[in-house]
Amino acid sequence: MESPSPTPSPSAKLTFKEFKGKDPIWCPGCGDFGVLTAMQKAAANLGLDPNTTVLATGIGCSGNITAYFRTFGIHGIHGRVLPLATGVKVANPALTVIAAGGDGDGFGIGLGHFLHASRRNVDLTYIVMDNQVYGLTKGQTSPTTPMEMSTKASPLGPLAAPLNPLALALSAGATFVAQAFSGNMAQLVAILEAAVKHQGFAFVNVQSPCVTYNLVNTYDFFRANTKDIAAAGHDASDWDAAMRVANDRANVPVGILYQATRPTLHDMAHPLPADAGVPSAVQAAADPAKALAHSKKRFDGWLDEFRAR
Amino acid sequence: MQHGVAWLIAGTAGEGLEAGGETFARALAALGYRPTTQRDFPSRIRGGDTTFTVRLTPEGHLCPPERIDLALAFNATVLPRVDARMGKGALILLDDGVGPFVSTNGATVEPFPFTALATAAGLAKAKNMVALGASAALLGVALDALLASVGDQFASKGAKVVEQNRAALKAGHAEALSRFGQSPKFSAPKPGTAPALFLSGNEAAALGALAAGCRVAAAYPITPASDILEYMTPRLMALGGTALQMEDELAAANVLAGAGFAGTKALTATSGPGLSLMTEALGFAGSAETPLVVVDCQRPGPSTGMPTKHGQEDLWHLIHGGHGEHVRIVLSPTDVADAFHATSEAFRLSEQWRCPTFVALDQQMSLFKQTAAPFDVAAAAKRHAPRGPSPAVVGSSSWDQTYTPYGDPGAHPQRIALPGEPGGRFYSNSTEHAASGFTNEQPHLRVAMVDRRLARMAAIPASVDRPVTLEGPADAPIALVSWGSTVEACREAAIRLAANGVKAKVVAVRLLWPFPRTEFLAAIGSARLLVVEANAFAQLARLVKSEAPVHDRLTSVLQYDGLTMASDRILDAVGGMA
Ligand SMILES: Cc1ncc(C[n+]2csc(CCOP(=O)(O)OP(=O)(O)O)c2C)c(N)n1
Ligand code: SF4
Ligand SMILES: [Mg+2]
Repeated sequence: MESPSPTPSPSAKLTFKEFKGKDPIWCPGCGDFGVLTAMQKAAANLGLDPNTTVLATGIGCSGNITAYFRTFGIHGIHGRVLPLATGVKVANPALTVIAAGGDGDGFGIGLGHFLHASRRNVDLTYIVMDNQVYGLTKGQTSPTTPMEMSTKASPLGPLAAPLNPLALALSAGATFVAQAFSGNMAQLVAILEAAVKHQGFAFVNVQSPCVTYNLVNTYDFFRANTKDIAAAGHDASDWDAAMRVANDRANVPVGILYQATRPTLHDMAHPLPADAGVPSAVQAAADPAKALAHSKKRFDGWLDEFRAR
Repeated sequence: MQHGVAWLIAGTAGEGLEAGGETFARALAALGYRPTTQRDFPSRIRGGDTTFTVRLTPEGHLCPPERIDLALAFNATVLPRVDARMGKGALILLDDGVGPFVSTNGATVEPFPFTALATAAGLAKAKNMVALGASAALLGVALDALLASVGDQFASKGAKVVEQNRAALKAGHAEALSRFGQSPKFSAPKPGTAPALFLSGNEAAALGALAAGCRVAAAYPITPASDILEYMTPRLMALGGTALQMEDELAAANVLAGAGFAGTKALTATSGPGLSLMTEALGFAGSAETPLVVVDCQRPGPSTGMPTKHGQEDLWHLIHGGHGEHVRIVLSPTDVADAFHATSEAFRLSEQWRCPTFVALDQQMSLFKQTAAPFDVAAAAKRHAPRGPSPAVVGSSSWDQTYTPYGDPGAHPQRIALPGEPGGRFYSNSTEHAASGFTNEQPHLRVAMVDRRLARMAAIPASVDRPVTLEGPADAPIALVSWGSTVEACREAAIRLAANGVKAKVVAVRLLWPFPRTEFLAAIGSARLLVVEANAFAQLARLVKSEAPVHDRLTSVLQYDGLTMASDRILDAVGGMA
């Protein structure tokens, strides 16, 4: 292959189709189709450059979305999508990073990372396709499965109370917390756009029905039970109000529960300006000798600290 | 016969033993001696007995003395432990009020007014300085350099503190001369002149990483690895990089996988328990062909094991750990200077071969200090050829079959497109994939992908700087084969054997995996092998036997008591070979 010219690809006029990847192999009617379409629409509306966007995913039916979304992608291991996405972002802060996975991936095996990424306020968008079930492993209960729900694979039910991901994210310090329903495209697209634009950790819990293994939390259930919190006058700058919404058990609240500004991981990890003109982390990796030459005085000083005296 | 001279200061943790010992060793290095240090500390923060050893040998190899010649003790409870390491002709100086104590090993025990002299100098805390002054007199070390070192160390605390410490140092020196006479009681090896660095392997490894262009470090605290992240954090900040203390090692390893995918050189430092947790993510890096570097500062296991002790028990985990089969490189530097070179080299290899690369250190190498010739940082950086242009055409992607990230033949990997470059969109995949990167389980494509990885395994050793080193006469009938810092004890043993008229060579396996069979067979020749390592299962010996037909001429020398290995153990083993 010939080597490319350094001109960046034009990004402003991209359409929804530019972000289309392979045809999904999800079950017909799976809620994740709506999430994928909404992500593609939001990306096009925002004018994201597919070459500077990275979709990081966990393992599950939901995690397979990397193949369906045509940006750079990284399909990692079960439960670790947030540290993986954090690594991408700290390596190259110019990238737009979106992390995505399932409720088992994010709130079961990966729960610790969810809380710590919230605390860290790392600047990325985390989309969970919450179907209250382990889809890919054929229908076991997940950390968001209601206590009274049993499945063929878990006839006793979860034997534990469900987690509340929205309240968890709020209490752990996430600066953008929203919930959406994959059956409401317009709202989901708008929330995803706001999440990607947000500077800091943006968590979007999407109610994404598993039509095969979850016969309780169906499209009809969500159509009947979702409550648009913006229409109900919710103030997204009020953390206490957000916490009350998160704990509303009578409804499934949808909309932006909370949005605030505080220093991101990048801001906190770089309290002092780096040396003027210092090569970026990617440039330093690409040409260590050049990077060293730039910081020669520093290296000389560090060596001198070890000189016997 | 004792090789060189060994000095030890003992007391309660928090009494400035380590600071005093470090000052002493650094000053000795400045005078041209080749000091090595050894800390013996309990796994607790305050209290508990600790000892700090400084050893002087002509060669400065990083291994412990068999016995201590001169010990200075500040409390009574530590004495039995100190005495166990003393012998006839040795001297123990006890602070006022400690003792009386009778050595069971024939050492002379004398009182010495450490605290009293320090108090008289105006600073009771400076009893460690009194000890250094007395030691200089007893070892025949010039006092001037010590005075200068002390000035250097305490400069930030003001002129008064410097003067008090210097006064304590002089008082100890004068007192020892008047009690023990003008001629030194112990003869230290003659100092040389080379201007030297004095540092630990962790420090050297961290510098090697920075020189190699590493700008992302993520880790979770664990002894004896923690100070690598600690050392790198402010320096990465200055260089525009990022240091992260993560919530656990699972997270740290995954940060590396993401950072490597995004085109940076990323490092983590850990020890056995952390390595166990990282294993799944490192397999992912193997599958996705992501470069990253893991420094494993080994300690004895299993499980929590002995956090503050020494061992080399992770070899098998490093080369085989994890499910499935993937390409990885495991380097084992043999001394502190080599920790710099090997860690820098690890980044080059990791990027060239697109696989996780490990640097195996051990407690002795990680924490103890040694002299080293100044590092040529610029030369180390120049070994990394600049990364070529993107392999992908503008706007290409694996979805429309205009970019194939895993299409190279294996033995000559090409670099993969990076996010942020204008072409080459693909996704990096933990699931088995075709050349396109897309998940694919067709039998023939699976075989092709595995064969590609296998081709790399065969090609790697030739690309590694000194995969095996041979030191000493090539035709020696005995080869001391080892890895990691235990090689240092072998080097010293070979010198001592030569002095006794026994010819031995040292064969260090610097590349543990893929095992460099050709280079190893050339280095050992027809010698009888003594495979020396700090574990009980003979991990290197078994690896060697699985790779080379040497079963009938191999003997293992093993130590797994948590202590570092003295060359005497190897001399004994050679003596027993006849
Ligand atoms: C370490 C590990 N344990 C178990 C699995 C098996 N596994 C794959 S996906 C999955 C659960 C998926 O559930 P969820 O994250 O909710 O995703 P969904 O399929 O529902 O989208 C499990 C347990 C695995 N891949 N890795
Ligand atoms: S099993 Fe459920 S989650 Fe998985 S693809 Fe089918 S409907 Fe979707
Ligand atoms: Mg699920």
